[in-house]
This record gives sequence, structure tokens and C-alpha cells, in this order.
Amino acid sequence: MPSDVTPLSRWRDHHSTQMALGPLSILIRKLLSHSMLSTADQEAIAALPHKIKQLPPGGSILREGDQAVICPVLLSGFAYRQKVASDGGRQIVALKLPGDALDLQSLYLQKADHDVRMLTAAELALVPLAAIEQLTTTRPAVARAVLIDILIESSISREWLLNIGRRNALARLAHLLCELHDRVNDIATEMSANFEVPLTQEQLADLLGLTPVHVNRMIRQLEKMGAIGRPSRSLTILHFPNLAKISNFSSAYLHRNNISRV
Amino acid sequence: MPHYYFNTTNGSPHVDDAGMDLPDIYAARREAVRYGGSLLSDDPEMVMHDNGLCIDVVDEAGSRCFAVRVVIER
Repeated sequence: MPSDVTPLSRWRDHHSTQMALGPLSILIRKLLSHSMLSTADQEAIAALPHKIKQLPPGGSILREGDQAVICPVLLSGFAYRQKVASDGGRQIVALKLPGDALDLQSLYLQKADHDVRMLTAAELALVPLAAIEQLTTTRPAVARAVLIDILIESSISREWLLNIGRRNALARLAHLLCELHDRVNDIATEMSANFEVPLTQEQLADLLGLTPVHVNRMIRQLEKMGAIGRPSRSLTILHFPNLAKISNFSSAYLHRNNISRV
Repeated sequence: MPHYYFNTTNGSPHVDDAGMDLPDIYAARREAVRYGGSLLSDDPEMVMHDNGLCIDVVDEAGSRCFAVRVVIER
């Protein structure tokens, strides 16, 4: 692995050093990326009751039909949402990164409509939904931040729908890698141009709606173009501008500059 | 589970170096047809060149199991 590639395990360490507000500071940081929160709001989020849970890759935290009572917050590692068709075909419908709350929708909807699983080994903070609900009723800025978080996830879903429905296989893969690049850099404390993508070819196939053989072929093609590297079978983004050009990537749908600066 | 490789030899040449574990030859046939469909939906022109699209499916020993071809006839 080239020395300038950031291994996934290091992200958590960056955050640990600045955890004045405890484990949930990573969630606060995520919410602050799109919403304004006062110091009191931030302290109230940090004080939410929670239990820490470790899960292995593939570990399940929510199943379709569940009536959730806790909202897991991803402290480290990656997670995904999936839906499964009656013939067993699986579609990965969302990727979640450290700092993401995994089930804010259960604040308002009775039953889970999809599964949530871990892509990598992960550490979670399990926060009672009732405690979050209470916080949102007493603190309007927190309620607004929760709403914005849900809206941005919907925006990403719309972009994925376009990606899977209308982009060719090469652009589809390149677009996903661009999105991951931007989202990972938003949570990393030091900018890293290159990083490992924690998805297998089968998982990429289930996410992009392609066959694994087709995914492998597109990976090879991006590799030949110098856009990605493959140290020890994992996949590394090497040249973001190249990927952005192939997929005509614009990060507008990520709403990264959502806070209006007066 | 047997391992199959899906090489395209016409239209859009590519040697599959990863392959895929599949339960049997019937599953490999379905996978080859799906792969071809996916390639063609990206680039329908593929069929117009050379002798059309040909997906050669090869087993682990390197023997050809079957091929899927898409050609335009007139």
C-alpha cells in the first residue's frame, strides 16, 4: 500500500484526540457540517444516554419490520442499508460513514422498511429514540438538524437512482467513488487524496446494479486510466479529477455548503 | 462451487482475470447472458463491430464451457 493512502482504522484515531464532548462528538460534527447548533445544543447531544456496541463486518443492527427503540450512531467503520427482493436479489441502497446516525427515520415511522448492516468492523453508540425525540421537542435547532440530515440522505438516494438508472457502467462506478471521496474527506480531520474503498466487487455489484464480472471489468478500465489503484486487492482512489471527469461529477446534491453564512 | 471466467473475444475484447463462483453451468449461463445484456445496454454499437459480441465462458482448468453470441443477421 502506498504510504499516502489513509487506512480506514486511522479515522477514528483522529476523532479520539478531539473528543472533548465524548463519543457522540462525531455525530455533532456531522450535524454541524450542514446545520447550525449552539454550544448548549451540542452539549445536549453529547449528553444523550448511549451504550457502545461493537459489530463485525456483516453484523446486523436493524431488520426490515423491526420496531426500533434505539438509533445507532456509527462511531467508526462503514455501514449500509439494503433491501432484498423475493427471489433473494439484494440492492444496497445507502452507504453510511462514521458520524452518521443510522435510524433517525424510526423517530417518525413505526416499522423499519429495510435492513442496516455493517460493511466493515464497526463501533456504534446506541441512543434511545425516546431521548432523541425529547431533545428535538425541546431544542428546535436539533430538530432542524435531524430533518436536514434526513433530507440530505434523500438527495443522495435520488442521485443513486439516476446513477443506477441512467449512467453507463464506467460512469456509475466512477460517480460512486467520487461521492465516497468527498464524503470521506468531510469526516477526515486531515485531507487525504487517496483512500481505501471498503467494498468488495460483489458488494459494488449489488450497489451499482451490475454483475460482479462487469464491475471487475470497469475496475480494470479505471485502473488502466490511472484513476484508481489496487494495492492488495482492495481499491484505492488515485486520481479524483479523472473520476470526476468520467462521471461528470458535481457534489451539489451532497449539500456540503448548506449553512448560509451571514 | 465451480469458478467461471467470462472473456469477451469480439466486439469489446476483455480477459476476465477475477471470474466468479457459481453453483453450476446453468447459473454460469444466466450470468453470461446478464453480463452481455449489461454490456450491450452500455454500448449497443458493440454488436456492429467485428463479428458481434461473444462471451466465452471458461472453467478453472481453462476449458471453454460455452459461448454466448450476439450478432446482427440480414
